Amino acid sequence: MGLNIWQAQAMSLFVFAGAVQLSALGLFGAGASFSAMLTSSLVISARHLLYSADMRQHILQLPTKWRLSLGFLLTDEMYALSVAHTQKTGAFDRHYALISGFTFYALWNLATCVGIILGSQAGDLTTLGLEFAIAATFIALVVPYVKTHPVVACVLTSAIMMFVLTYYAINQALLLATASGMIVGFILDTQHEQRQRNHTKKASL
Amino acid sequence: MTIWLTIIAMALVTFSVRYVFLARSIPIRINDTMKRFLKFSAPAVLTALTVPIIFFPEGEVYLSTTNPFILGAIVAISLSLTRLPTIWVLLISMASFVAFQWLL
Repeated sequence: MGLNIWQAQAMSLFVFAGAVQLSALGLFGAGASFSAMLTSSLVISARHLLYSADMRQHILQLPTKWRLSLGFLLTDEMYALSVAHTQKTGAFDRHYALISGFTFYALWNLATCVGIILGSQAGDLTTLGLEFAIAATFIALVVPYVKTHPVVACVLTSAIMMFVLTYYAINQALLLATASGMIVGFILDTQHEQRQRNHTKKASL
Repeated sequence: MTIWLTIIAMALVTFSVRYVFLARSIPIRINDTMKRFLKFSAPAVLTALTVPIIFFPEGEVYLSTTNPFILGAIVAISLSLTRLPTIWVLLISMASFVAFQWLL
């Protein structure tokens, strides 16, 4: 059960989430259940909760049409650009956020369209190449995060858990591996924070 | 039909997680502890998505120095550690993947 070209384009037009779409391609191919598809979409896109919570201070007072549009366009890239711009200029610029968000939307849909046209001609040979391209993209996104000990521990836990769970074909491997990585990272981060707080307390005495 | 329904449901999920804290009707605020926890979401989930592609390329575990996915991933990780722009990291690691596939 694969996607036809209209369904593939509709994913980019409406779902508009790279990691969710790429993993969904695999899940559709494997004939995963409706609930499995939704759980994995939720797990993969949960990081947007953080962006949404962080943007709340700037966006909540805007009119509904702005809140809906900026919400729809809130991607990793738009968030990163908007935060950088806000830091540089000292104020949140809704037009900057909208334009950068929409640029990524247009580019992503254009790339999908080109991919569909090329993919329909190249056939099966490209499947493995596409799989690797997905993995390489995720790697390029993760590595810059890996700067502190808690993130190193988080990434290693998630990787080892995912390996073991996939090896034993355990259900909800993605959810379990992600949750363990997050919990380990969070615990170490909490300890680090506490140590720092004790440190400043001692220093001020 | 099921596919279309799944796509619509997925669109609702991805929109909801983005919009939830931008909605006025939602009075909850997310505290700093929750923010610290969510900070680990992106690295954890992206790693978990990468592992099966690299180590289980055709559904079966493939732990070997001739697995082009593992070799390509090593290239991608090494290049990501440099200051090379992301687009070059992707292009070079994909080219090396194709080369490994062809050579091994």
